[in-house]
Amino acid sequence: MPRLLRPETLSETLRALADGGDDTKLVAGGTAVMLMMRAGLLFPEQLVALEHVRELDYVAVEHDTVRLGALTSLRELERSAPLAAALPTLAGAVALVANHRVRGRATIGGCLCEADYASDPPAVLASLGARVRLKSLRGEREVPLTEFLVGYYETVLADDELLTEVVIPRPPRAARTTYLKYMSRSMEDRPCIGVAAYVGRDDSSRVGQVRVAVAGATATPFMLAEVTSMLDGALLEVDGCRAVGEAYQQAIEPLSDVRGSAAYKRRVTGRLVTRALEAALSSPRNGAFRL
Amino acid sequence: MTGADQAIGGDLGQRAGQATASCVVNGVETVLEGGLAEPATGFLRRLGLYGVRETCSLGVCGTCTILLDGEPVSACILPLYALDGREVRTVEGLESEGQLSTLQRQFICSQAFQCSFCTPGFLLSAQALLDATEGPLTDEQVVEGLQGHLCRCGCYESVKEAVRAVAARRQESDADGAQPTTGPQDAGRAAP
Ligand SMILES: Cc1cc2nc3c(=O)[nH]c(=O)nc-3n(C[C@H](O)[C@H](O)[C@H](O)COP(=O)(O)OP(=O)(O)OC[C@H]3O[C@@H](n4cnc5c(N)ncnc54)[C@H](O)[C@@H]3O)c2cc1C
Ligand code: FES
Ligand code: FES
Repeated sequence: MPRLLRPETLSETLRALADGGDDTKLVAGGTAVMLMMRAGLLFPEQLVALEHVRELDYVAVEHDTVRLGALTSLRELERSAPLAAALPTLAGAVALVANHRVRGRATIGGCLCEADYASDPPAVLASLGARVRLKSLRGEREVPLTEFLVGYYETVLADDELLTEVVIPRPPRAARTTYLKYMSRSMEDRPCIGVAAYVGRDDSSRVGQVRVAVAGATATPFMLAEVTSMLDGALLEVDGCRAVGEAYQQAIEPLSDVRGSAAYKRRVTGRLVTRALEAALSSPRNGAFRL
Repeated sequence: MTGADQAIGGDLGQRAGQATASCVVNGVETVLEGGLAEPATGFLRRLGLYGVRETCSLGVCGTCTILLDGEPVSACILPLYALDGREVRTVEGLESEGQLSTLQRQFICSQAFQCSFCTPGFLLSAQALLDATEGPLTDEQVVEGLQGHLCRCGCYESVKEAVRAVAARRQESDADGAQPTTGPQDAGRAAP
């Protein structure tokens, strides 16, 4: 029979994890953990419920960065006016996750640590160059999100580590960001394919750094830095976008799932990468869009 | 005992300073009984609150919706311990002194259901939406607020109409004193 620990501070939580060993399971919103326990896939000896660790629940919009406490719910992120002003594409993408009942419980930390390939926020955060802060009694480290996620449902978290914070550099004012979420079954589904694009721009209207991350196709958000770097410094025309889309379509090796076959996802990826870049370049509005 | 049973059993533990785990269900202080990570649906149904209906058990369909401190959540993926110290409202808590709420009466007048299996969930999310807003609501606001509630009978349009009708009237008069209006297909019918 499992035991339940309900720490109220970060240090109590880290102590519980250090003492707990690998039969201890952290639960934040529980929207993923409950499904796994109900399916009999997970039967921990001890649950450490995070919900009373209020110090991990915040949105801090600062001059150069936005910091999100791991325990902040997706609903809070979606409703945060400062976040919508600073990172409209992230706020918009979060509002497209699941339904309001799930978003009310689901936390940003749980979303990243679950590491489901068909998730929206990880791709958007990867395109924004986010990092995550991990803490244990042994110390602290900050890891780029793209290195934190390593495989299907797999991260670099050690058993005694807690994800405490997501740190997102604030894009320059002229930068453009967009997220296109294509759903093949219903309006509240996980993405069949999601494409997050970040186009850095300076005032000379030349393109700075470009990052494009694809959700729903591969184990972790799919990014081709060598392809998007072709655009660095370019004057962007529509051709450039299409070439990047085609390169993504060629290179990606999607898995088949209930939301689409590999061949289908490959084609959708090509089109959506092109569209996301075109949207990021031509539209003055940053944001997330449901397709 | 299966793996799943083992995982959801166990002692509920205690909040600091509390002898037992408890929550307020529809206004009544209630001790939590059951496995700590058992889905909250089982506990609520054992209390006789059959308006909490479990269908998909995946957080998708909305039939198990409850309001937790006023916010809609899917009870099928809510661990029992998460109710501790919180306020829970089920559809049984919408009426007062045997009187259906304005929203409930409007659902009847707008014929916002056929089999009504989905209705408790729709009512609770709609109530949360009404509580969080003021004045009339647009179609988009209602669709967003009732997102992820599935109705196999396809009553979406009349549900939307019912919620908008209640929202439209609440600026004229105190919401709970307002009378339901009859829907278009139902023009001759008197409000109950
Ligand atoms: C019906 C439904 C629809 C969904 N649709 C979408 C969708 O459209 N798009 C999308 O992106 N996602 C979707 N999801 C997934 C949802 O976003 C995740 O389930 C949720 O974000 C997980 O957060 P949680 O707080 O509930 O995590 P939990 O279930 O509490 O935890 C998940 C995992 O993370 C670990 N964990 C949690 N917090 C921490 C922490 N701070 N440090 C270390 N480890 C931690 C837990 O131990 C567990 O392994 C959907 C889920 C459901 C149920
Ligand atoms: S039974 Fe809980 S959402 Fe369907
Ligand atoms: S009225 Fe039958 S499922 Fe909605």
